[in-house]
Amino acid sequence: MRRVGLVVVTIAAIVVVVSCKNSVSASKMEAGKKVYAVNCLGCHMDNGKGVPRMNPSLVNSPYVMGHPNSLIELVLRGSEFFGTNKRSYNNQMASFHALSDTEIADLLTYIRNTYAKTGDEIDAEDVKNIRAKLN
Amino acid sequence: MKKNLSFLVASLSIVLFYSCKSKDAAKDEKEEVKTEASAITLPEGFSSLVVADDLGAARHIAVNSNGDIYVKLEKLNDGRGILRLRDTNNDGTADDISGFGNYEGTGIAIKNGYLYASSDDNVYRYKMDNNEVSANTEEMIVEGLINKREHSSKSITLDNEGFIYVNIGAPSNACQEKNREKGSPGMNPCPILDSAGGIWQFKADKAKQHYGDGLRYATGIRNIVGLDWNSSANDLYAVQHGRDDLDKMFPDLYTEEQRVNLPAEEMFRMKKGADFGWPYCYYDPFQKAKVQGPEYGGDGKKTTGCENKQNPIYAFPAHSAPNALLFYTGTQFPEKYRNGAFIAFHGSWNRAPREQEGFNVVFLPFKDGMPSGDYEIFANGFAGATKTPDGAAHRPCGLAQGPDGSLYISDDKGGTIWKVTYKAAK
Repeated sequence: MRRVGLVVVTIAAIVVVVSCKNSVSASKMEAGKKVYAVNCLGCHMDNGKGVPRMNPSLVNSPYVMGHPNSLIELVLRGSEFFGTNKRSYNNQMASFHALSDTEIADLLTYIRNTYAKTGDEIDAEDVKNIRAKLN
Repeated sequence: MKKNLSFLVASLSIVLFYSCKSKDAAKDEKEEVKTEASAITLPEGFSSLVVADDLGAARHIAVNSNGDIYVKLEKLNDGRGILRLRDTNNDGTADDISGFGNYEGTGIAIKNGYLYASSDDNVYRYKMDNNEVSANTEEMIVEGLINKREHSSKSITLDNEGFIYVNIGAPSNACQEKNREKGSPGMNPCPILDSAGGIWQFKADKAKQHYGDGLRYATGIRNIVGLDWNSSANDLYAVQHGRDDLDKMFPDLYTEEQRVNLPAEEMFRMKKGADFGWPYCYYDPFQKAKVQGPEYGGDGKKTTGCENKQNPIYAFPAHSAPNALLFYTGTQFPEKYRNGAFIAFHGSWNRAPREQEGFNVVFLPFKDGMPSGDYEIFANGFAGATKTPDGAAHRPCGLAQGPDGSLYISDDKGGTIWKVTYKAAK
């Protein structure tokens, strides 16, 4: 009987660990956080909630939660070419094409796993491919 | 045994649920807590009353001689862009609210029997007859002003000679070739200044005026939301929203600390033809000088090209976002307030991650048309527990003086209108 209980506890513990495990590498998140602090925090704020009517919130934003390729393109081109939230926010986001592929990949991994819970990573290779397509 | 197992599974499910619950979500719930609208703090002898609440994005306000309050909304409320608040039983709160004008905007003013209001593109006026405004007297007096979303509010004020002054904000941070893009150089000359980045003067009674009918009264101004004609000095005054992001655009020249505290939010006294320097120069309150912007070759110290730009008459903390200016002419408040300036600070965002500034109404004493001392915080506590644009419960945006000398404050976050009165201690 005791053994059955132990098995249940063990299985449940594994479930807890697996379900809570962040599949994203800590170092990538840390690197992304640094890129965010320098380039994004000033407008989107440290809680990602932005400034009402000026700079959009990233928290569970459809752009943040959507397909990573669209988000990569938005960062590379800026919002002017994208028409994002045109009627809702006064400020345009500049293009951040000057950031490296790795920086953008780290940044978007951080944003997608901090302000949404997508649980995935974006690779520098993905950024490189989209950048090549745009050029 | 079965019971024990069920209990175990249930307990673990609870643990699982809470262990996975996002910390951010918990924080979000906390931020939803709003402060009481009436909980603003004021100097001794003053008290406040909430006239109305939850009106929507209440930008500027004007009070008529019968006490009716007109509120310009930035978002339509039930199809109405202007609300009239009337207190029919004299208890201080609005019990009769009606509206008209199906356009969004910021500016509103009353002068010589007309109500003036602005969208982000046009300026309108309405005839006031026996204290009633009828929407069908709407007349467009200025049309087709630049509106590219950024800095698009068209604040208005009127002088005593039949002119209306309209702010046309620059749709840009510093006129860079690529707006707000790191290292992008400034355009020289800045083409934005032809149709924006200044205050334009139009006739208050002429229909359908465009740029060609008006006069660029003052230039070199990034964005103004708070402006007022000071009748005792017979001049136009305004408070500017200064530029952002010095360290983001030029990290080799500026630190985060410098970006947080530079430039000052400048108060201007405007004569016709004045040039305040944007985008080529900004005001550094520590060096007490206009210095050249980094987009134009500046290094944070050089004053090249700024020699003839006009200095502010007062410098407020950076990025505080002055959204309303009112020269107090009433007699209800003590003598020191007479002809002095109240300024409503909407509250900053470009100081992140440092503590934000503003979210208050300050008073600046004046003598002979010039500041005569330092400002003091007059009304505070609008933001509540979280002093950020997103977390603030209320953000002061408009100011008006009632016929009895009371001060009215509007808030475009919680949609609250306060009436502030003074009673001397016996």
